Amino acid sequence: MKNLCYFSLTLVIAALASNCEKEPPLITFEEVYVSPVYTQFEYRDTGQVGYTLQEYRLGSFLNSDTPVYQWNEWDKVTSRGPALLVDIRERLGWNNFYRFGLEFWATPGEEALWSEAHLKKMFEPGSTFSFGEGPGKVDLSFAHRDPDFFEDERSKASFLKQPDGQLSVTQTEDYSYTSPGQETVRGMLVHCTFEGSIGQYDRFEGAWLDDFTTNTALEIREGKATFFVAYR
Amino acid sequence: MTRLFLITILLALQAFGLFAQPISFGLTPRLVAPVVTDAKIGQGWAAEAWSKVEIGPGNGLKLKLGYQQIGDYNSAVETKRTYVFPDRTIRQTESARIKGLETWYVDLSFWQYTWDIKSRWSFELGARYSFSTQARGPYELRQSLGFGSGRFFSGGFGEEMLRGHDFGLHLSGAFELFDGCWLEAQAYQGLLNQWKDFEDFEGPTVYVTTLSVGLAFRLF
Repeated sequence: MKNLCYFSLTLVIAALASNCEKEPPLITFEEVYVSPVYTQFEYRDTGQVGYTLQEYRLGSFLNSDTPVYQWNEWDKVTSRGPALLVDIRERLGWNNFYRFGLEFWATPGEEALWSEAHLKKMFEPGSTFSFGEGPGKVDLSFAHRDPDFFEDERSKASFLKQPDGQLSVTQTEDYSYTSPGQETVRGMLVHCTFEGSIGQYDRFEGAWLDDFTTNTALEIREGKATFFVAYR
Repeated sequence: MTRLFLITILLALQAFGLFAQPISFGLTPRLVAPVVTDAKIGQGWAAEAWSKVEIGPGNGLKLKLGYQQIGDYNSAVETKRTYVFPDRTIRQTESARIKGLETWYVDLSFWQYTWDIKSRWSFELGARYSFSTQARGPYELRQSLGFGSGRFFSGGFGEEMLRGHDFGLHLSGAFELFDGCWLEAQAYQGLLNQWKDFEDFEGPTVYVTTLSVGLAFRLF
């Protein structure tokens, strides 16, 4: 019994001593997570000799006073059928300005539009989309000038009388994210490359008209993107 | 419900006469001094109802149900998380500070007179399970969602950061002042960190260590 008593006493004293170790009064932990979506490409305006590098990357504002970009994804019904639009907007205070976009059309007769099965079939690695409008095509848009009088000054592949270019899907992967207090958004990341020409927006001609076309091209090369599409 | 069940057991020990041996029932108020992590002694109190049974000459078992409040802790954690998702940016800051702990406990111990059955000195060795533990201290959650909107919550923190229970050992010594009244001194060491484990990093620790003195009164 004495041994048990000594053992217990030792145990309690050892525990008391260990508990007196100092600990900082505040333990802090910091974590930053950035979704891996981005696009980068080079473009050349009419009369320009060299190409200009353009990059839109999430989270760039974390390290410096750089613009804040937001990637949106929409599905909508157009005159050419249901379409999926992925666009990048620059946030400036409470306003946002259109910067870059990819619009894809669904194949006619598709039953479960934008479902996991449909999107995996549509963006199967190796598949290609020609620049232009309609099923099997992608309308690439890009607002390369700084925001001015108009909010939306996007140049588009479909503005060209003869659209020229192609987007190729190189890889896909499942991806999901959960905002605190909200439901998980499930979908996939699509990795792709693209190259071609898009029709330049004309501020004075009025590119907002549906039948606007132009021969003035903006050349795009070395294009790469990873974008997110949600399963519906 | 759990508390009611334990009180029933305590009363049942008395009613049915565990082991058909002499059994007594009493109350003990305590002054409790928690050893907080910066080597400072805090303040607190506890009260417990107990039932004591003899199982041999000069030794036996004691079952206690108690409630304890201890304070003067100063252990805090702050997490800052930024999520940049494709369509939204979320900044979340969560901070919590333990200033005190309140808990219920049930305690089973072995007691023995130190020298002989007529000695006025005795000691106890026991194990304690604490439950329904709550923390006193500030808690804040700030979320900035997207661009401009957000939410803020301030109040008490609970299950998401606090373990809520503890298991520990204690060693006590008692001196019988007069028939039916003992002066007790006790050292207790909890074995579980009262903060919950954090998944991404090593968080703060609060292991409950207390020294206490109390007067145990035998009621019948």
